[in-house]
Amino acid sequence: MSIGRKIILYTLLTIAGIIMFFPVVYAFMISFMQGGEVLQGKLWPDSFSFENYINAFEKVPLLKYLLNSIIVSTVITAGQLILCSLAAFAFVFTQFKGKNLLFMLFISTMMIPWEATMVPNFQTIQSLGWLNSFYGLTIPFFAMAFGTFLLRQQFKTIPIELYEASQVSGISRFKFFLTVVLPLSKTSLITLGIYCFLTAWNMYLWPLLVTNDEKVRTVQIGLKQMQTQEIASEWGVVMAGVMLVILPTLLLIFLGQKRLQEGLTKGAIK
Amino acid sequence: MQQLKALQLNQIRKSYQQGAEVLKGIDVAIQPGEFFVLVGPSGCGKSTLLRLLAGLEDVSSGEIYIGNEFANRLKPSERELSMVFQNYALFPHMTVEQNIMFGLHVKKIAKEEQRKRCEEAAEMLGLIPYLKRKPKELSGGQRQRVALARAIVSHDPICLMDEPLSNLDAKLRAKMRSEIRQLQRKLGITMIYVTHDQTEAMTMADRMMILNQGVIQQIGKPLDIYNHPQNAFVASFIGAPPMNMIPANVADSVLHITENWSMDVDIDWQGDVIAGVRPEHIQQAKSGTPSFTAEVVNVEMLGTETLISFEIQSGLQWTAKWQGQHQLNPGDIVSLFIDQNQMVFFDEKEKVNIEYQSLGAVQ
Amino acid sequence: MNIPNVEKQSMKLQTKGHKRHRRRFSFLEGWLYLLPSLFLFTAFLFYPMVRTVYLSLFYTDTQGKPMAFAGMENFTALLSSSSFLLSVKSTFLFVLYTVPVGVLLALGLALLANQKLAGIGFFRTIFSSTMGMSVAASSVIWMFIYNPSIGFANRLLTWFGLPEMQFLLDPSTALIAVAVATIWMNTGFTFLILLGGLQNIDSQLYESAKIAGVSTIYSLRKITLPMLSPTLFFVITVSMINSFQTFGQIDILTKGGPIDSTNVIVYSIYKDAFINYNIGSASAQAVILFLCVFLVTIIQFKLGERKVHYQ
Ligand SMILES: Nc1ncnc2c1ncn2[C@@H]1O[C@H](COP(=O)(O)OP(=O)(O)OP(=O)(O)O)[C@@H](O)[C@H]1O
Ligand SMILES: [Mg+2]
Repeated sequence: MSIGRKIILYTLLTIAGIIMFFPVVYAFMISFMQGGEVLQGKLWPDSFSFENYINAFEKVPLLKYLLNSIIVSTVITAGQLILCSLAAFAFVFTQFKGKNLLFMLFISTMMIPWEATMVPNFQTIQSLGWLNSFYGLTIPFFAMAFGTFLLRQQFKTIPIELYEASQVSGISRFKFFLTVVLPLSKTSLITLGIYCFLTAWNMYLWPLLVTNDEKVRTVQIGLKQMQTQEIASEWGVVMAGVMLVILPTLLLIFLGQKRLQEGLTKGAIK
Repeated sequence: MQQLKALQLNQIRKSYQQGAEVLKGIDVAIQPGEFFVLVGPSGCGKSTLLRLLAGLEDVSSGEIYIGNEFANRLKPSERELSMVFQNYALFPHMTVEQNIMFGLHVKKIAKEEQRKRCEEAAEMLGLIPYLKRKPKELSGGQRQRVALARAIVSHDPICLMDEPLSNLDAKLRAKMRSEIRQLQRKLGITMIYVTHDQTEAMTMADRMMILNQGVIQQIGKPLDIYNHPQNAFVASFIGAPPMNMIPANVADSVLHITENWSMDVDIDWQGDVIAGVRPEHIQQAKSGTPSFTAEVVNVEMLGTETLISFEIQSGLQWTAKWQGQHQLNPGDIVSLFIDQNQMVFFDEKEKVNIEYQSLGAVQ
Repeated sequence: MNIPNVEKQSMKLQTKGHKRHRRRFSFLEGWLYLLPSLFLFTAFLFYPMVRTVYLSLFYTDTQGKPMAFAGMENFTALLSSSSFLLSVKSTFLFVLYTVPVGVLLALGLALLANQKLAGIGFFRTIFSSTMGMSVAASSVIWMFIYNPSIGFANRLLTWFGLPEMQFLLDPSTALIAVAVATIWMNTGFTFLILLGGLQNIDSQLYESAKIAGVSTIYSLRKITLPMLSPTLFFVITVSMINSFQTFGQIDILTKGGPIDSTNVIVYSIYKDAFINYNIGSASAQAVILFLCVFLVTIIQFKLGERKVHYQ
């Protein structure tokens, strides 16, 4: 590659990178600013003190919200991984009547926008007494067609001979699933896990509907609450909250970007 | 080791949901401790038959007996057999040791005993240094040995192998061939071995079965089959280079092969036949013997022997195999001699060896 | 010669009865693995969808209990309601603003980031970072950026010598402002998928193009885009569906205002159901949303079948 071309590419990459990442850096800077600095419209804080962060924890029960979010996201991720891998396993390693029909049914779930079903779902959760509970926040999301397809793609790459060898050895199908299929699919499971965690962590509408007290409220709703309360002057505190909320997921992206990119493409395209 | 087990198949048929019958009535009895080879061209149903034996597929009709037990409905694991797959089916995430011991716990074998057997098998196959490695850190031959070891440790009386050597290079293949054979003798297992390579079949089998399009062509000892092929298919499939054949006519004990080539034969047959002769039985004519001439079209020197192709008729080439090195060039005319006793004749219609027909024709 | 000696008589028949059932068990086993998923899909997707359709045909009380059969009343009322029509218009405009620009932007970034350069991993991570940004957090940041007096957007305008704007408070710009924020939020995911698609293209194709000496633009048009088309197709579909379902950024940035200019359909459903307690109307809108998404999926599928070049 010629030097000229390289310079052009790096310039473009840098400009694009600055534009893409600017809002995050901007929020980061503001999270260290005092009220006055924010009003002056500065880009760089006078000093990096963690006052706003401490304030953020004091103004709203942010720690509690973070904990709730971690619980909700972890449970959803675990539930999705378990249900998706079981379903994908059935689609790849068992033969039974109606399998194709069931597969079509799974595909059809992708055509139903979740928002179109939120009213009856809310009523269901309400009548189960699951408002303001982790059950209501997590269980409805355990089944997931996309994850099932992604894992199905992965399971299909496992040679059928491995299954046959297990059969000859007398290993039960479920044991085969646990000791061979799952360990061999570790990469895909981690990818899907990252994706599930991100999605669950970032969930907004559903937690907004089914939580109305601090007991189980997630951090995203906490953020909205903060922003409506603090809007008048304390932008620094709000941005400190923002930084705390995006930190875990941003970290996950930084660590898992490559894996996510490879894994999701595999699931998305055939 | 457990007692040896026989295997018996009665009228086994198999068709898959979509499509024609793959196996069309297989009858065979395999003796305890026998090295039995299943050979045939690609797609003839060898793997299918093996998978039926293993219980990985269900038969469409017919009966399978393993030992004395009716086995049609037994699960694979209840058939007390081990299986080696073409691509070895090693678990990539397990070490060699774990791979070898895979499934032993199901048989309720104690931990120490498992370890002992693993050690034994690894010792036998020279795998001791590799026990802690993963399959992808092994060479093809070593992987092959791990697969063998896995088949051995179960101490099952029957072992099934589906083209286990086809992923190896020629040299390693020859080595593993004799290793497998020795192992089978030492352990006294009943072996059912699938291959599409007739050399492998010839060199390894106690008895072999030749399959074509789901139909048994012949069952027997390798040399018997080589010397007395049941039909033209077997004759051309077994032996390399394949048997030379030509349509001919027999009238009053004279075989008319081409316009200017006929010879006396001592067979009780009238009419059209297909005459066959093995490459090693086409000799250079000595003076005084009845001979015919042909033009050399190609010569392959292999060192210890020479393969000479020549044109018998326009569009029909034969190959002769001569010991030693022969300096011949394309275009040379050679005179050749064939001993009538070394010719094989198949009837024109059914392509069946007339040797077998006259047996039946005696009545 | 070796005619198989069939010794049927000597074989003892020892069929074990219970082993006959393994086929049937295998049949059950498949269902067993699928059962949890099927149950949840039924409870939280199929049933509520049917229920939504049902509710859309009734007048309901504030609890969402059907009171009297309404037939198509809810729908005809919606179609003659100017605020609903505005909501539909906003939704479609929003899709139009976000999808093409968003996909093109992500495609450009992906092409840039697909170069073999030192440190490219860093840029890839930066470009995909918005995937880790929640809707709530992103919206709060953009809320500040759009702040008329202290936000960065107006400072940029004044810096260029342009007049200041009331981005989120002006009905003519609010939807575009939200769209810009949304494009930024979605770029991470779209970029990541497209980059994955680009990297799946066999590099030998490019090498043979290089040997043939064709231009970069030509190989982009004749190799990259056709080979990427399945991925692009997927990304466009997902982006459109996501765009139809926009909620969080609206809720935080504009609350559907000013004067309903950003009242997209999901927000409208939310308001009708959980603020105005008009469940029947909300359900009717939900049915319409479902039909839109369904239609998009079907159209994309049909188009895709014809146009997309699958590897
Ligand atoms: N699962 C299946 N469904 C349908 N047809 C099958 C199936 N498995 C095999 N066949 C067909 O059965 C025939 C025999 O296949 P089989 O695998 O037994 O051949 P083979 O003799 O082992 O060949 P090769 O030497 O190539 O392995 C083939 O025509 C094949 O297409
Ligand atoms: Mg085969």
